[in-house]
Amino acid sequence: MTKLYGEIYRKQGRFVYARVGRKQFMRVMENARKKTGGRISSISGRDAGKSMEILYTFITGEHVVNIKVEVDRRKPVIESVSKLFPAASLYERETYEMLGVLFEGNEELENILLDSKLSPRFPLRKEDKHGKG
Amino acid sequence: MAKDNERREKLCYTLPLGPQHPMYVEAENLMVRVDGETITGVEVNIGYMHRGIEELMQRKNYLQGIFLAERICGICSGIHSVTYCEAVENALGIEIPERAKYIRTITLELERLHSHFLFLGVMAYELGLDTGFMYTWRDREHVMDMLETLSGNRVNYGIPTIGGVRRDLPAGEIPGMLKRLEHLRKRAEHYVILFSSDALVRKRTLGKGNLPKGKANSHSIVGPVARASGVNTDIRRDLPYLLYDELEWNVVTRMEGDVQARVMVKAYEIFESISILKQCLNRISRTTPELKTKTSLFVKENEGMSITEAPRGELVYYLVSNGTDRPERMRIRTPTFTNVPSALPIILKGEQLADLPVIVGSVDPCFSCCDRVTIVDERTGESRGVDEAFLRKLGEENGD
Repeated sequence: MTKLYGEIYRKQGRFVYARVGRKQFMRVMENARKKTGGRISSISGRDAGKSMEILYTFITGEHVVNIKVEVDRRKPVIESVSKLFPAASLYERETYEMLGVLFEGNEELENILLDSKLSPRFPLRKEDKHGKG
Repeated sequence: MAKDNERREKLCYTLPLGPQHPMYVEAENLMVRVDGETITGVEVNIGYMHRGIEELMQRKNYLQGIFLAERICGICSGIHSVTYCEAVENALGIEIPERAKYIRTITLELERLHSHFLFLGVMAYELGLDTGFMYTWRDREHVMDMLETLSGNRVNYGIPTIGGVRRDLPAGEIPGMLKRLEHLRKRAEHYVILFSSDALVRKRTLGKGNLPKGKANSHSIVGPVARASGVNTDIRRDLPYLLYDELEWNVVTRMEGDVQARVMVKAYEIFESISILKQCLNRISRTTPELKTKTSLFVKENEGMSITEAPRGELVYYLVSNGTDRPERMRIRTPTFTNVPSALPIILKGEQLADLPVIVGSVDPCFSCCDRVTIVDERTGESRGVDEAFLRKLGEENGD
């Protein structure tokens, strides 16, 4: 599993968490799709302070593999997987509008939930918070 | 004659359906391109119901988050709160007591029952069978009564908590519940016959809104919509949680991928849910009375995930904890978010406009109301709005 998904850093029952470098990311996703026939279930973005963490939840028959990639916060760009997994386009759009991560190759990259004129820009970034409740 | 020909000359319209429309329950927008009566394309615009829940959850502690999760959806409130609790319990690394698993399973399957009866009623209504709508929702009241017995409420049950459940199921209620379930099973047989053999229903559902299996796979369609297209997937079997790997039940699939198949999948899932409920109700007396595992609500730095099968499909919760009593990040991916923007453009293309409510209803989304018409001449790109004077003139010309 390590060869397929990168560096596995946690296993919790059927959930596996793996870390992948930015440069190996697309190769890992292509191999995972080819060898397991699995699907992308969700893409979660998180503002981790110094970087943006993007988590790809990949479901195979037996496991849920969460592949984590970190991108530079000042230039949050990563290749889109929407050509491999058409459903990923929706999740990439949501991650883009909430956190400002650019997915290169996604031709539909625009807001999906928020109004582009009325809503705050990238609301899930920490700097946009107006103080915790 | 010349005038008739003029009238028959096809114009390509873009009809905005939503965000306010009487045929829908919640606010969404479909931009439907039509050529005469035939739908040539659909663009789905979502986000009118966006309430910033993921952001709000970061400002609430884990207990408050349960009640927030419940209120994401009125029909699936139970599955949201259970999935949320399971994600937190996954991050905490705790197991819940067996009796709590039974009560959670019973709550979730009762919720699936009420959601599926609601769906059958909505389908009957969209088909013009108002009596069918009344009958199915009358039978659904048995499920609502059982949920009220269990939780004190018909919606937003407040049953799960971190580590277990908040309320017990009184043993004295079980015989009454089993009786109601047997009644519901007989009523479900009647609805299977109605939806599969009635000539009007067959005419309007067979071969309509086809979703091929290949498209369902490539677009990661989930839930009953995927199962109706031959995709053999159910999180309860594939990635079992609670008691689903200990109980006997079947995954219901169909190969046709049309409206009829989607209705039949949900109708037959009613029988499977009733079977699961009967098994749980017959076995729960063997469990110890413990309802909750005591735990701190300060979750160490960790990640937690939970994936469950909501009535509409796969539901994913992903949590990042930071040592406090509030989540650092809570990501929620609902089945409708996956299904509706992907499936609707595929299943509506080439269909007749009059079949739109039935086809959209068969995907079981949440939608709402309407806007005015914009006429777009797709040949020239010119567009103009339609006002009341124009509509009145059209009506007078056509003798309405």
